[in-house]
Formats: sequence, structure tokens, C-alpha cells
Amino acid sequence: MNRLPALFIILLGILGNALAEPSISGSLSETVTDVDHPVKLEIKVENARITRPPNVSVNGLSISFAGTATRTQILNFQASSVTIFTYIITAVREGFYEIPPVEVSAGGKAYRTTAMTLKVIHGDPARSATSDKPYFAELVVPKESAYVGEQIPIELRFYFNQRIQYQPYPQGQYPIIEGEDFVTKKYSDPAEKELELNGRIYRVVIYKTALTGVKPGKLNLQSATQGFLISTPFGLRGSQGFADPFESFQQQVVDVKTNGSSIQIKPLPAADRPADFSGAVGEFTLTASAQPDKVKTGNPVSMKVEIKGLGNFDRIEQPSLTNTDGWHIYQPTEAIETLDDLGLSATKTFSYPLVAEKAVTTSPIARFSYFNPNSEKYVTLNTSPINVEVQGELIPKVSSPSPVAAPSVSTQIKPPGVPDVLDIQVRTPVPAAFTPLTKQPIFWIAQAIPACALLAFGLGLWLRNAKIASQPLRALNLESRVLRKKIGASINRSDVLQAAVRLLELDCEIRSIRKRGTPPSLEEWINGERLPAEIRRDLRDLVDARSARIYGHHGPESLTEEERSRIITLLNRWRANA
Amino acid sequence: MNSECLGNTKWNTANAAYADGKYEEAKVNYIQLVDSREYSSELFYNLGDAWFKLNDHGRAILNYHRALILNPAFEEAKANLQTTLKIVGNDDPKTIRDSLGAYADYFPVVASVFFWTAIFCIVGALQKRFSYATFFGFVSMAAGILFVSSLAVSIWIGAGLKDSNRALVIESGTDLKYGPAVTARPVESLQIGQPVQLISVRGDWTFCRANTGNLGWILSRKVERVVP
Repeated sequence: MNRLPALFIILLGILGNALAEPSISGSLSETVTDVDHPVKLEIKVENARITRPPNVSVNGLSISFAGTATRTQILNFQASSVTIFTYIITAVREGFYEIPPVEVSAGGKAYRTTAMTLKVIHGDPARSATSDKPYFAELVVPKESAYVGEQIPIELRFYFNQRIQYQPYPQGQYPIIEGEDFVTKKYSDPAEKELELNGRIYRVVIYKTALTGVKPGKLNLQSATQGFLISTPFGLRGSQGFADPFESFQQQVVDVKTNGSSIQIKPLPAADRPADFSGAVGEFTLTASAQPDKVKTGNPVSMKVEIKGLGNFDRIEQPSLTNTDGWHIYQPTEAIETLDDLGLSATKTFSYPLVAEKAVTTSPIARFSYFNPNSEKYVTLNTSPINVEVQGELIPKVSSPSPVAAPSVSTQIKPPGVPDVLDIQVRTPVPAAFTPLTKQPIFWIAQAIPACALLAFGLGLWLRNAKIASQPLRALNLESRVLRKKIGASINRSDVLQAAVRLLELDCEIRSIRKRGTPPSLEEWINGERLPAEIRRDLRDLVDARSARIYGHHGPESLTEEERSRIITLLNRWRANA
Repeated sequence: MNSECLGNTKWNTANAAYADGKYEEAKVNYIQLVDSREYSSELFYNLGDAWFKLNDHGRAILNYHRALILNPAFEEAKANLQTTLKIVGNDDPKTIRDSLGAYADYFPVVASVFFWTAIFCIVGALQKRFSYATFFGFVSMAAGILFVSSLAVSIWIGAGLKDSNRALVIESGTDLKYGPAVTARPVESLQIGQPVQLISVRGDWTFCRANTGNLGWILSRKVERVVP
């Protein structure tokens, strides 16, 4: 039961493998080498079962087959297999060698790689002059001539004695090539390796790029310079002995300069130049497909035109379409997939949305022209018409998709090949500002809202706590007011005496709350020295009279006005002096 | 009210001129609206179209950029920018900073929302008699982390695409040079539509940093600030 999914995936893989289009490509580990210095050639075959290594032979080169590697992968339920045949190439003489397209057969069809070139130089004498130096550089240009627009891969090699520590300076800076009338591609990430030169081992930083001559004539590359921060051990004499772990280093920034070189840039021939030639130089293949292959008039069909190969893909424009009768063609979208670090080898795909306006049986034909620098001829490729069955009645001309209904020049259907933009907006513009939000007052006003809310919340909390804290004091004050009223109004002597003494006690309590401490009690006031003796005596009499009346029931029950007045006066004097 | 009417009239005149194929006239009218600081994404989009029709792809790209700064969701501007960049061969992928820069105004808002959430939740967590004090504590911690993150992103991208020193290359054959002179060695070649950061100006030359990180001098007329 558990084997079913695995079996399904394998079947899917086999099916996918069977359906995927085979392809072949070749690559050299180095495009420039020395005499007797071996170079690796890899022939990569995708989606085809090839067991026998293809035959590769070139006059003047010793090519020996080194082995085969096969890899199968399933990605997004799409299976693909890759077989890599590896060869070792050694040259016995210097010169330019062209490795012709390598051919394999799969499913009754032949597939070829693009041609490759290998430059073999007599390295020793050239390099021996520089090999005594702790560091030096070399500009490697594999060609002596090229056409305008042709991309020439070049290498900038910076050699360092293995005892030198180095790093590009400033970091992230790439070499600057001095010269005029050329453009370069972006550098790929530098590669590092060790190389033996004249019996010495060097560490080499290799920068790869491609340059393109923009006008005919002799293109002089004066030099290429790269800054490095190097740490050199004191006393470096180029010895190959063991490194001394205690040796000290000297740090310095140096500009390492390569040798110069020149390339003869030839103009593209004017004779036989196709009308649709857009400046593409290289070697390309052209294929097309259309989906679905059965539609009704008015329904869209997606036609994909794929240009694959080696060359200046930035100059490849959309192929022109012929045999367009019955089709309405919209602007295609483009996609590019690079197949190497520099983007010299790539696949550019143009997807044309098509709408059939009447019953037709085939798709339009894509046409693409380029200049092949190897054969030195213009080549025009045409795709075969693809069978697309369109059924239905003739429909009126399809209008260009436009957000604006009003007729305008730009709403007219443009012929394919002329990119256009969507039409203007006619709706009332909505005012907007370039001021960043943080510099707009509205942002800070908005911040004030939660800030105010927080402040209000805090204030509320404080008031609440203050209210809770003042509750006992307010209760005492309230009781004081009631007692005062009683002292002023009651005729019952017991009540008035009781109220007067309680009032004095409350006064002491209120003082203790207000002063947040422990001020003297009524007893301490009476017995202490803080009040004048007369007041203390009267207070004592008042307390005694209260005790005598409440606990001993001595004295009259009713209060005289004279006694009330005396009590009130005493309370006022107490207040004034306490 | 008057200026609004005048603005509307000019807007309609410019659109009518464009529809009649009088792109130069349309461009002049759109530029007058820009000069009167009546900025809108539609205005810059239409101005971009006018420049495109006049085959000035550099300025078309610049104005599509401006339209997208004012309205990052402007699909037509995105499509036209894409088309024009393809025409000039600018296939530089956007950096993360540039992609986030389009939303530079959103990050301070997010940061402030999380900041105030964190503050209020801290206050809530400190109130012992709240039954959800622990919950508030956790929320305040989460909001605090999100606040710091969004603040960090906000500081990193700064004003984003609205940075007043951000400019675009508008002419082809533009070299970033080691010195402010035509004869100076080039540091790198810049493509139309490539952003640069302006640092200082000396005569006809501007010292700037390319998006590759290289510093150098560029002819001032070959770049234009994105924020007008």
C-alpha cells in the first residue's frame, strides 16, 4: 500500500521524462589554457537516454573521455534527467581551437551543442617575468577579433603568493577596466583557486565578465585594476618553506594592475542584412508552441516563442510574426532565463496572447534574424506553423484593451513589434503629497489622541486614589461639623460635654492625618507643656466634667448658656493655640 | 475654488491634447500642473505616457515611478513602468529596501499602533486589581517586540521612495565617474531608470551613490530627483 505513491511518482517521472524536450549543451572549465595544461569539457544531455559518449575530436587537441555521470530529479511532479559526459582536453601547440558542435541523437532527432573555442597560449615565458613578484595580475582575452555587438568572455586573474593574505578593497568593489568604446556585463562572483606556476603555488582570484565592442576599430584594453588589502609577512622572499607561526605581517592597500590587450572590432556586414535584424549577435535556435490547440473564434491562444543559445540577449527583441491573417496579436510578455553566471547562454521566451478572429488552422509564424560571428553570416530562423484548430464564425475586430473608453491615438491597435503603454487616465485626479508621513502634522496629531487618552487615564487614576486617601479625613470633618452644631444647639449638658471632648479628640486625629505623623493625643496636650497653663487647666476641667457627668452622673442635666459660651470659647482658644 | 477650476480645465485640455495625438502640448499642460504642485498619481502617470509617446523613456520611467510612489497599487503605472524598463533594457531586480521603500509610510503607522498598544497594556498589567493583568502583560510584550521591529525597519528604509535625495538616471550613456570631469575614468555605466542617491553638487556635476554601492560623479542633467 505504501509503495503506491512511490510507484506513482516513478511513473510520473517516466512519463514526464518522455514528454520533456531533450536538450544538449557543452562547456569548458577554462576558455584559455597553457600548452600541456588540461581543460575539462562537459557535454550535458537533458531528458534523453544516451549511454554512449558522443564523439569529440579536434585536430591539434588530445581529447580523452573521462567518465559519465547521470542524475534524475523530480521537481513539482516534473521529472528530468541529466547525463554529463566529461572529457579531458590537452593541447600540444598554442593557438585558437574551435570545438565543433557535438551531436547526439534522441527519438530519431539530432541535437547539437553550440561550437566552443579554446585559446592555448605558451604560458611560461609570459608568466615567468611576473612570477617573482608576490602578486600580479593577468587579463585574458580569448579572441583577437570580434564583431560589433558580439560578447567576448574575458577573465581577470589576480595571482597572490600563497603566504599573502588578501581581500578586495573596498569590499564589494569589482575591477575597473580602462579603455573606451566597449561595455561590460556585470561581473559574476569571483572564483578562487590554487594554481602552480613555474613550480610555485599561487592563489588566484578570477573575475569573469564579457565585453562588447560598440564601434568598429581597434579596441584597446589598457589594463584592469583592482584594489586589494594585503597582509605580507616580513621577509617574504618567495620561498615555499613552511610558514612561521610567529612571523609578523605588514598590511597595505595595493592596486593590482593587469596587462593590456587589444581586440579588432569588425563592423557587422551591411550586405544581406535582414530587415528585421535587431542587433542580435551569437548563435541561437528558435522554437514555438501554442496552447490550446483547439479553440473557438474570440477565445485566446497563448503562443510561446523561445530563443535559446549563446549571445547578446539584451539586444534580442521580440520576433516578428507572419501568417497573421485571422489573428489579432497582442503585445507579448518577455522572460529570460540565464544558463550561466554571466548570462551569455540563456533562453528568452516571448509569450504572445493571440485571439482568432475567424476560423483558421495554423498559428502565425515567428521570424528571428541574427548575425552568426562564427560563420560570419546573417541567419534568419522561422518557426514551422503550429496546428491550431479554430472554429466559429467571423467576429468583428477586437479592440485593444484600454481602461479608457474615449477614442485616442494610443487606443489604436499597434502592429506587433512596437511596444506601447496603457492609455492615460481621465478620471478626476486625487490630490496626494510626496511628504513622508512622519513629516506630516496629521501623523503627530494622531499620536496626540492616544497620548491624551493615556494622560486622562492617569489623571483619573490619581484622582481616584486621592479620593480614596482623603475619605477618613472627610468623615472626621463631617463629624466635627455635626458636633459643632450639637454644641451650639443642644441643651443637654451630657451631650454638649461629650461632643466638646469628642471634638477635641477629632481635632487631634485630623492633625495626625494631615501631618502624616503622630502628633500628641489630647491627653498629651493636656499634660504637656505645649499649651498655656490656663488652657490646659480648662481642658482638664472640661474632660473631668464630661467624665463626672457621663460616668458619675454628677452635676446638672441641663446646660446653661454661660457654660455653653465658656465651652465654645475654650474650643476656640484651643484651636488658636494648638 | 478658482485654482481648482483652472486645474480641472488644464487637466481636461491636456487629456484632450493627448487623445488628439498632440503629445508635446499634452506634456506642457501636465508639466504646468506639476509646477503648480497639484500632485496626483494620475497626473504623473499621464505625464509618463506623454513622455513615452515623445520617445523620452527616461522621463517616462521617472514619472511612472512618481505615480507609484503616490499610489503603490496603481496597476496601469506598474504595467507601463515594466514595459518602458524592458524597452530601455533595464532588467535590474528590485532590492528589498526598494520594495519596502514603496510602503515607507506604512511602517511608522504600524510602529505607532504597536507602541500605544504596548503602553496601554503595560498600564493595564500594572493595575493589580484587573483580572486580565497577566494577559495584558503578554500582549504588551508581543506589541513591544513588534513595535521595535517595525521601528527598526522604518529607520532602515527612512523616507523610502519619498527620499528627497533619491534620483533616477533619465538619459542613456550615463557614466558614474571618479571625478567631476568628462575625461575622468568611469566607475560604472548606469542604465536608464537606475536609482542613485544624491550627495552633493559641484557645478554641472553631482556626487552620488549608485544602487550598486559605488560612489562617483555624474552629469547633473542626466539624473532627476524622484520627488519633484
